[in-house]
Amino acid sequence: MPTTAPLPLPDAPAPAAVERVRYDEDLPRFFLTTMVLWGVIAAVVWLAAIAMLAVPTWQETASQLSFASLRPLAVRLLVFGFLSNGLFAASYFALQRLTSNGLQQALGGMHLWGWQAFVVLSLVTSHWLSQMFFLAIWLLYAANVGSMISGRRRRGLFITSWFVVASLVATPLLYVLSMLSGVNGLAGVIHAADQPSWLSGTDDALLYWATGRSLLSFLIVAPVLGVLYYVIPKATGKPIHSYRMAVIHFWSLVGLAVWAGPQNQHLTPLPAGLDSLGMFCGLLMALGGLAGAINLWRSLGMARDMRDDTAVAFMRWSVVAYAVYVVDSGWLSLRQMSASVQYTDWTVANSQLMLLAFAGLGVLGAGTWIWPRLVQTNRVESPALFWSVRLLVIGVAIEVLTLYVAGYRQATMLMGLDETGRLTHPEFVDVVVANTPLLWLRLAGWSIVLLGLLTYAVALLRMHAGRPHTYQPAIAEAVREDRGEPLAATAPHPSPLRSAPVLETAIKLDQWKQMRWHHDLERFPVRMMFRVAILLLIGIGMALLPTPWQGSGEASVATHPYTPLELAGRQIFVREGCVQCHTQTVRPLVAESIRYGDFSRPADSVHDRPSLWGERRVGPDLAREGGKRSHLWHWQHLENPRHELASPGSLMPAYDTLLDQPLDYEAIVALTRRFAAQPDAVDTDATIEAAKAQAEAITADLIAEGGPVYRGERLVLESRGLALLAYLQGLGTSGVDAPATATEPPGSSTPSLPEQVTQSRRSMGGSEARSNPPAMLPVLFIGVPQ
Amino acid sequence: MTQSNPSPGPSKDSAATASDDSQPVVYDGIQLGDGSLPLWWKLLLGAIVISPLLYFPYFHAGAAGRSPTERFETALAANSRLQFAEIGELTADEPTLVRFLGEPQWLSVGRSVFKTNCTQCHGIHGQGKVGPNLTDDQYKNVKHLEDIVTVLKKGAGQGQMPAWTGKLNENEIILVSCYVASLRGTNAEGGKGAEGQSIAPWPTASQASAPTSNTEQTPEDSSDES
Repeated sequence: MPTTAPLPLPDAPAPAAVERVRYDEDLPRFFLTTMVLWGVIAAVVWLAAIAMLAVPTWQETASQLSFASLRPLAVRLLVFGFLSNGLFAASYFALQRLTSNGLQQALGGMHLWGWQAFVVLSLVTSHWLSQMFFLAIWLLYAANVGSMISGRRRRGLFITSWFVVASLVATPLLYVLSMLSGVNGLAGVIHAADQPSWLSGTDDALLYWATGRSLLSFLIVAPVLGVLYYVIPKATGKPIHSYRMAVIHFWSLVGLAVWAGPQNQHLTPLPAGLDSLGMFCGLLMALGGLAGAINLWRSLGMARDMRDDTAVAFMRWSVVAYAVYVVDSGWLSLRQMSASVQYTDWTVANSQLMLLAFAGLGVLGAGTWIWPRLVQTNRVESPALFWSVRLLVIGVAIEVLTLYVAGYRQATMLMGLDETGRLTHPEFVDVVVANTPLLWLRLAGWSIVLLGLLTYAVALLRMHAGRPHTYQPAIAEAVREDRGEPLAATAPHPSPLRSAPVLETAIKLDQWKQMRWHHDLERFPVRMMFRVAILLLIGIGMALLPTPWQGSGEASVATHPYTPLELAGRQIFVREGCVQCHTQTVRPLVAESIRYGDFSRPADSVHDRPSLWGERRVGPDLAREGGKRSHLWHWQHLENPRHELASPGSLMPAYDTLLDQPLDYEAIVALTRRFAAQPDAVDTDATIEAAKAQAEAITADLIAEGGPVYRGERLVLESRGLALLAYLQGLGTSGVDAPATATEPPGSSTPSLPEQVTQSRRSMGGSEARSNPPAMLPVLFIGVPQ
Repeated sequence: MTQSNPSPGPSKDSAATASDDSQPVVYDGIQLGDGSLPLWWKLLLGAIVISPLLYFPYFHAGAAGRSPTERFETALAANSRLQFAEIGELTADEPTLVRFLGEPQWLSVGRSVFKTNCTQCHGIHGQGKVGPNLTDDQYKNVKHLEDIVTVLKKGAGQGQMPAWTGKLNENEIILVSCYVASLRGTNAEGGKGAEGQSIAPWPTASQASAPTSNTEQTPEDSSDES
């Protein structure tokens, strides 16, 4: 509890009483400890995830341990475990001092343990209840900060508080909306494998990019900037270079983050005007970020006498990384640049630069400065600390630079056309094989990061060893300022024109330029909060506008409603995290059309809930995969991707366990019901019959192609792998029943899924399917339980 | 200054006195500077603010040929011209196939198409994987040279061999057919076992397309698919 005892001062004629404020230091101390612990675990899991790609045979037990299953865990550990805990520590430390108000210890304790429970929970499940738990814990944090700010003794809010307030408001807002989009903004994890998302296709993809992706801007980027704006001047003892630039920095981030979302969707089925809008918003946001980077750099740059200070060294690298990150982000928002490097490791490099170099080193720098104050020691520098900053910077640099190199190589190899207009690397797997050695560099980088984090932990322990026998309470004196008094008069810098013989207008203009209007705004946190929220909601509203282009427009060669079996296959695709490595959108670029086929149209993904456009091509795009290869090839490829008959050199996990599992028709019916707008209209027998008919047709083809009849003890006909096969072979085709009418009728922007499922089921119930089962089929299937 | 560590103890916040115009606001000892933005930043801001005024009318006002898809179509047409300028639009008859069977530079075009689309099933050298060996003398669905084109266009074997009409253009289909025909007899190492029947050698350029005498077996299922 904040203890505030009035302190009688003998010579205090001032109207405002000087109060003694006690700051809580236990909570930041605990949060910093958890930050280091989770950081070490995160580094280990990242190593494991990358090792799965470097040595793909380790993924043979696919669904348990693969890059696709480990990467989301690694990202969550890094973001929720490492970065968020560090940010909570630093923001609690800073905000108490900036508001001259103590924090609520009871709330803080619940926040601390609740958050650790959430980190563990997020590793186990992505059930919507765990998302609700996230929101509940976030609310505790918001309540605590809210109580500090509302009971503040200072009139206004410092820059750090703006960023933290923006993060508090925006995070839950964007989190809820990104949940609706069906794709979790973190690591592109789809958490709705069993449920249809609210929107479909282009609508869903737009919502995801506008909310899910900008979520990181507010969960991580904004609070890290806030912390840097506090710790940098504290560590150097110098002023913030420019108040004005901080204002520009803050509002450019808040106002444009959502709008810039479509910049990542250049040349997708999204309408072209929208991605151009995203491009210019992205450029403006990058420019605002650059102003912030210059501001922070100049605030640091004044501290030339701080060369040996490790905290300053960490933050110097963090600010450099931020500058590179914003320039790269602006660069990436350009359509030409995006055309080349989107979906390669370049975009991964961009996000790792932000998460590891900017946020990671920034939080570690703040921790380095805060920790000795929390444990009340003067023994700060140590060999361990000396080495930790070097190891961490080198390790992070190796990881990020390797990814940039890999991205550049992938882009040039995949998009490369020779002088006769043909692909320079016709086979996708050649590009994969050529870049596999770089994975070992990434492993080296992460090993060094892990070593650096361990060294960092040792350094903190050494400081901890120098703590006093009992901590002295952190007490400060503060005067409760009168909040009613207008602040315009007390701007950070009084106008020099005031005493000069100039027009009143000139003085006003000068004051406006000095951002005095903003100084006034800082007095009203609630007003500020609402402005942040309104700016975000306008952007989100843009993302939620009904999209008349979806389902209409030029007819696509490839769209059909999912059959029950394909729906089951799609569920497997989502659950196994295939979207981590495979995109489903071919862009209108010559190289892509030669490699994959016709470019994707809005109508193609109209049945996708959620959209599976994806972000990254570790493997090839699958939007036009259906019918390109035989069933048998797919079967063998799932069984063992590196088999000489499949795709030697591939990094894909083997899904042989999937082939062993039985196909559960009851579950297919339940799934079809969940995806149907009118679940009651889904007939159990007809659905099972349709799914079985399709499974039989595929099995017949498979066997005719020389595939196996049995998979272990079980008939291939009963394998769950058939569902995935059905889904993959249906991608980008006009469906099993093949009539051209399967394309979406124009104008129906909200397709009723059940109708189409019923329709396709009806057509399947007959004697339709793509290929007629050969005469030998009945013989083969004697004894198969129907 | 509320800073109480590393040597904890009460201290007085200097901002407490900042209520008149002459004192800058200070938070926890942090002063706010008056630095201004560099000129290049302001110029860049101006450029970025103005450029949409030119960009949107140019690209998004509906002028022909400027949308991404239209520019793609232009680029794709240019690419096709680049690839096939010398040969124009081919027709899938035997003389054409025989002619390009003898032109290595065009066979290499066929090889590129083959590598992009066919090696997954037929192997990198056409030695056969899931699909049949293309480097021996036995063929499942082919009796004459132009049957290769038919199989490519319509597929074969219940869709084991997909139909490529619509996915590849006519020239690509013909040139990849020629490339496949050229693989005959190379007997690539590790080739798959023989499937189908032995057929007569391909006609040579000097030969007329005489009917072959080997008629006792019809192709298995090249006509099942349509």
